[in-house]
Amino acid sequence: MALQASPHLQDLVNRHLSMEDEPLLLAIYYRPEREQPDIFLFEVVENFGAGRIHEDRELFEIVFEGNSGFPLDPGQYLHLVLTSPVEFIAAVDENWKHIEELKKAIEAGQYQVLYEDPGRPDLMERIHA
Amino acid sequence: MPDPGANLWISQANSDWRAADLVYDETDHRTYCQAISKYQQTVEKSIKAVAAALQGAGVKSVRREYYYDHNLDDLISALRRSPYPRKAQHVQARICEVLSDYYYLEINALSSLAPRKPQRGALHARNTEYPYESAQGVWTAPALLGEFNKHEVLRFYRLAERIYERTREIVSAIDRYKKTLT
Repeated sequence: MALQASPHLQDLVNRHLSMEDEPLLLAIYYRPEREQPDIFLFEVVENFGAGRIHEDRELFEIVFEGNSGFPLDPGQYLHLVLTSPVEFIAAVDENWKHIEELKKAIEAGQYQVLYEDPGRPDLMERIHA
Repeated sequence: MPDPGANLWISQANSDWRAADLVYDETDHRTYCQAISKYQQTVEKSIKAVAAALQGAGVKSVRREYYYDHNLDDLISALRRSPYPRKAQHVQARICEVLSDYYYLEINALSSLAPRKPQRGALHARNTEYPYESAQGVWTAPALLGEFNKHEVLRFYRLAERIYERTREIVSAIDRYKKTLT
């Protein structure tokens, strides 16, 4: 069964759209095989990390606890996987670990696109390629 | 009155980082102390940005006076002090990674080069901005030949680059998490 984001997650992505200094280009809720039942949100963000490409060939991932505005089950965490368009393209071309697990989740139908910038359809196309 | 947001600290750290780049001339020893001074400012403001971000997101409370102190010991200690989380990518783990023991020592070495009033009876310590004593009563200035060198500039350039880039990512991520609260 396809994933369905909670209203809290969709609302969070909607709020990210208001961040003008780091515009959101793509947001995907996905469920990799690891660390279930955590919530994984993958975002491509203009200017994230000044467009730096991580030398260790891993996208930036950070984990938060839930809170009253974003309730999670006990032991459940929110993972943000963040990258810039420049790094994203490099990561797809070289099939970095996060891209590999994102592609697997997509193949398994364990994902939902929560936002896609109409001006950047190429980002999603790269994942599907 | 609300405190300045993390993005303002990061913007200022970015300005210092850029200024260091502009001021440094490898062929001119007078610029070495200036570049290192800007690296110190870059690191200081980057770390204060993390504190401000955590404060803004309600993840951690940091005493306001830490923001006005050039000595980062207490602030770094406050940022590192937390039960180590189970997940390697937890925000606290990310902060501990940036402020690991090695980088903590490097930050201390850089911070020690900011000018400070000496303790009674102590020498005016070597720093990047004010004249200081190389021995009792023997004064020199940071811009003079031989007082700072290219190796030190490179050492602190690498430190500032790492701290700025990593903290910028953490601050950006916390800012996105903060949207769960508004």
